[in-house]
Amino acid sequence: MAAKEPLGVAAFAPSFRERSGEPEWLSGLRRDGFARFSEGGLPTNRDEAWKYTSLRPIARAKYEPAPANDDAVLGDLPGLMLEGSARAVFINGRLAPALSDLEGVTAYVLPLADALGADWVQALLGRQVDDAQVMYALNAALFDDGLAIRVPDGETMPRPLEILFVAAPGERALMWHPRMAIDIGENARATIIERHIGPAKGAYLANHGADIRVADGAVLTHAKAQLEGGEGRHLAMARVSIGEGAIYDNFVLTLGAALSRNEVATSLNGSDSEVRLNGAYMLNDRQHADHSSRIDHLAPSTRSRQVYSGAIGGNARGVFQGHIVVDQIAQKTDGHQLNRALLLSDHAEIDSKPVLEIYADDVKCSHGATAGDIDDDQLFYLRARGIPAEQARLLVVRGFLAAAAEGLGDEAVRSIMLAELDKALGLEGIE
Amino acid sequence: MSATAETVADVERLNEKYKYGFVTDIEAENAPKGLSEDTVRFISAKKNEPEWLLEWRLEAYRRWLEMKEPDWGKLGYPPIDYQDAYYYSAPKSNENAPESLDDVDPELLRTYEKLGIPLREQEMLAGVKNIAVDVVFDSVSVATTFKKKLAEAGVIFSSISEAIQEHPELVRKYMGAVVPRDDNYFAALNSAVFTDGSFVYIPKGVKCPMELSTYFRINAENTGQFERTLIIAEEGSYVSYLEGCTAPMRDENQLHAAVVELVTHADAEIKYSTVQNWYPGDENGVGGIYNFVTKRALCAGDRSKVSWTQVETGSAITWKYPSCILQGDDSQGEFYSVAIANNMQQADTGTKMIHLGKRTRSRIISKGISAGNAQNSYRGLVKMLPTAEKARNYTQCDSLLIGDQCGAHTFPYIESQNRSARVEHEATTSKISEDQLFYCRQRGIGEEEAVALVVNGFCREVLQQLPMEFAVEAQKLVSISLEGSVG
Amino acid sequence: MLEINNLHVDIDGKQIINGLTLTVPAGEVHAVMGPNGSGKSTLSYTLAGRDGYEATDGTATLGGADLLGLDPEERAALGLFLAFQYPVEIPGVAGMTFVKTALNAVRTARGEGELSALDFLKLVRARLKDLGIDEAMLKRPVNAGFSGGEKKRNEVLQMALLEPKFCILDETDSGLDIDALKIVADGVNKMRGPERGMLVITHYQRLLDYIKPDKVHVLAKGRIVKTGGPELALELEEKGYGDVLAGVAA
Ligand SMILES: Nc1ncnc2c1ncn2[C@@H]1O[C@H](COP(=O)(O)OP(=O)(O)OP(=O)(O)O)[C@@H](O)[C@H]1O
Ligand SMILES: [Mg+2]
Repeated sequence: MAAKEPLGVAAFAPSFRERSGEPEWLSGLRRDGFARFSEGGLPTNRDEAWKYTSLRPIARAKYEPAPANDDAVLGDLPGLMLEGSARAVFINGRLAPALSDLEGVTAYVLPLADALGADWVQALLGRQVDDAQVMYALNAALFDDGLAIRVPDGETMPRPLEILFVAAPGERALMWHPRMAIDIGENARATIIERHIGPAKGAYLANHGADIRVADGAVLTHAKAQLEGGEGRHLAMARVSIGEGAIYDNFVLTLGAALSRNEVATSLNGSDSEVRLNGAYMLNDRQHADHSSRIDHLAPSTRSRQVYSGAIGGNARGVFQGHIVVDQIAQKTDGHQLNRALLLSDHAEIDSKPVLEIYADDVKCSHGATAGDIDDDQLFYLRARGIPAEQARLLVVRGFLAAAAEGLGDEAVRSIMLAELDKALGLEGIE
Repeated sequence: MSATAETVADVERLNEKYKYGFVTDIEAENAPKGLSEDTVRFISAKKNEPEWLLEWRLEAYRRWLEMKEPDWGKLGYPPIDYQDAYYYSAPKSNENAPESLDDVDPELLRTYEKLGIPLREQEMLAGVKNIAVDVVFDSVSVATTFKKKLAEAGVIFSSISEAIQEHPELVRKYMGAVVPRDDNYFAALNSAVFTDGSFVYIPKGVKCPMELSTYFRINAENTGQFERTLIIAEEGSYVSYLEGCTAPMRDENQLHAAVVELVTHADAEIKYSTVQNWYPGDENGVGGIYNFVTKRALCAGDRSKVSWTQVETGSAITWKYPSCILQGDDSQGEFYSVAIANNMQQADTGTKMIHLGKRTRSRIISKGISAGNAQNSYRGLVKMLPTAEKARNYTQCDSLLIGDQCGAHTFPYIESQNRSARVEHEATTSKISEDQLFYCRQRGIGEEEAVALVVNGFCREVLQQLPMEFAVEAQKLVSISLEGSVG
Repeated sequence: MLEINNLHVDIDGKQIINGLTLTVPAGEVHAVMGPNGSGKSTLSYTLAGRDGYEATDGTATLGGADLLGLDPEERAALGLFLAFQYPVEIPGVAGMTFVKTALNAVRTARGEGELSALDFLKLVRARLKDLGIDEAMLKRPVNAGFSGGEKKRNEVLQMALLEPKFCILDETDSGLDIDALKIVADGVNKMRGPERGMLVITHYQRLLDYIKPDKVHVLAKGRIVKTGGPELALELEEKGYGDVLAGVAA
């Protein structure tokens, strides 16, 4: 049998080029990334890590790298999500300095290209990539732009940072692969909010990658509202290492994109560290959204908490994959994950795979998963109080999804995420 | 004496951990070593099978040649050399199948006595519910008891070889109907070379008057056991069936690849219990049975029910997922499992519940216990198809770890395509509770016994599902399997 | 009978008991009182041999036998019984199975031989009756889902069944209703005898109205800081620990 060309390699090969002027380590990283991608090609259902999400459609779409932004047609930018934030604006995956407001944080937030000489950037970007992280490898090969965010030891970033990613697709299907390097120093603090928006029409692929380190004692709040356009495809992978006593607090709200996958791979490297991965998603039509997480407990007395809640309507499909691994030395691990899905239509589907892989004995780990329609009792209760059926349904759905945000520590961030959810539900101002 | 203390004493008396580890010295007739179309023909000819079955086997063999051994289980073992085994071994004395127990080789009868399996009908204890037993020794069935009494009720209980001769139309209709011959690598292998197994047919409206049981024993060296069991419950019938398995202690690994197919028609119920105690190998992982089993039930009729209960304590490797296809409306599937892996054992077991019919219900209770250097995984699928209106599933998977060198893993797959269906899954993993052990010990209970007590409590919900007679046995087995895991 | 001399105990490297000395002769009942967190339960767990309670110095003997080197079940076999402040739930293990296993283990260790099923049942029924406990309680898994008071009664039931030489009751009165307190106290009083010693840990004088102690000790900061007769308990009830503690070096 002749060796078959791995899926999609031909489609992406033309975009891969040697770039002059980059440090040698980066050229190496890009070559490795592309080699790795070429080996396996785009993942399909046959790859266990992608069992429920096939990227076959991406191979057919013939995305071209987005040109520099000059000719992108933009409407008005939306206002800030969180009052008082600094903001970095990306148009089609490239930083638009003129639209950004980094006042007060310029010492912390740099264009990635300007920080390539820094050791910490090299250290973060150069970390080993897992076999299943194919799209991440492709991101390394192809990224054109990004940010380098660094908060030195003991400092707090003076303003929260919003990163606004605007998709402005044109006639042809475009793609971009932005990359973030984020380093939160010892006992430092920062809040980063990502917002991804796009128009209803126009095909594009946004393939994000982020390398994050949360050093000993540090706290990073990292929230994301994914409101991509209806024909957009959104893939995002964040790899996070967490030091002793540190907290990585992550929340994702997924409402947009035809196809999306939000993947977070975290390793709890220091004892007494904690990771919170939470998310809410609401899907309709033919949307497909995949939330995948991996948590490696690699040190004693580490803690992980995950709650993902979804409401799935139309012909949409939700996917949850949660994988907790407890290393032999990670005694006294406390890990919990929960995935709950509401199926709101006859053609909706949810697939979940909450895996526990445990090699230490003194642990407390658990997971739960539920799927089903709205709870009739709740609905009845609300209606008995005089709330019309449709309104009651919305409220129940809202409550169900909002529960996933409870684990998010920062109250202000939680409320802007919920506000975004309420907007989508037509329940603005409910809280 | 408490059950657990008794066990400990028993074991000490036998002065060995695995009391079924003896070898019976009996003359056997083997097929030539290795696997080929000729082996398949040899087996089929030995069994005097009809042409269609030989063809069926050969097709399975050809499919098997094209298939890949599955590698997705969380199991590690050296490659199996399928040419280095015998695929047929029959006690010589059994060449002319015995008409009654009196014709069975006394050496064989003694073996089963030693194993605690009552074969002589008159030896059944008064007061204990009668149990009919089919006994499979290496590749062939050597005896089936209570045939006459069962026949009066219209129940057919025989070896599958006999059923192929006596009831070819039933075998032909149902064999491969639930587990297609090319379903998976090991099922294909079994379909090609299966040698014996049990056949049960319960006619319409009949409640089988006694428990049915098959006892599997691997004796010969280098021999694989490939049995096939087929149980058909016609409309409104009921049967409770139990299988037990043991094997001698040998330094090399032996292969066991079975296929079990169950079919329930409307309002019928099958309760299928397994106490699997194949030789697990020694503390260093030398020897032991490789147990690759495909078990599946088709709940074809409305309101039919299948309940799988398994206590898995043996085997070096266990790869086994008793499943239910819930096709009939209001049909029910249950899976109750205790899997214990100690020393170097590896178990990857679980279930699949495929909901097709309306208001189908399934319940999964899995208790995994890992000790020593063992790895124990639960792997399960719950699938609600679009037709599964108002279907329900509840799953509870708990894992217990004893010692810090073992692993406990949970791989559930939950897929729902029906909004009115409800799926609930919960899993927990924790260490055996120090507080509970201390509490027991403060009351004077020794450490090993305290562990056995706490573990038996942990498994109780599952053990309760076993027929009474076996629940006690199983409880002892739980204690024995954990010997040496503390201290 | 129970002799504790200059006992020092660490938990997780933190010293909780430091230089505790206490003697309870056979036939006597001593009460131990003391503020929350003073180390009362730590003392009882240490005597019973719980993991993680490390005696770094001093001795503890029961009837002359050194306790500290023994496994918990060996101490139980010697006749030491601890009624836990927080009895542990053991799901899936029926109470009846549990007490039977424990009783037989202890009897075997004492060379008394096991009881026949019938004798056992008789014994259990008699004790249940004494304590006004419904047999249904023993059909349920040990302590699982029991109310606080039920757990405490279950502890006393086990004590009555195992007939230990020395009993430590760690706040067995907390959580009991008024009637149960009397019944439990009666049960304990019945067990008093010239051969048996008892250490009763409590916060309330009221229990001591029913179980008259020979001596009352105050444990504070890991040591016995005051010892007196039954009147000491009354005094503490009235004035609190303030005066007693005033003289104790931190
Ligand atoms: N595992 C532990 N690790 C650290 N400190 C502990 C541990 N267990 C107990 N302690 C501490 O030891 C001290 C004594 O606790 P102990 O339970 O013996 O108190 P107590 O006198 O029984 O109190 P109470 O009257 O509330 O029952 C307390 O300060 C407690 O917090
Ligand atoms: Mg206390």
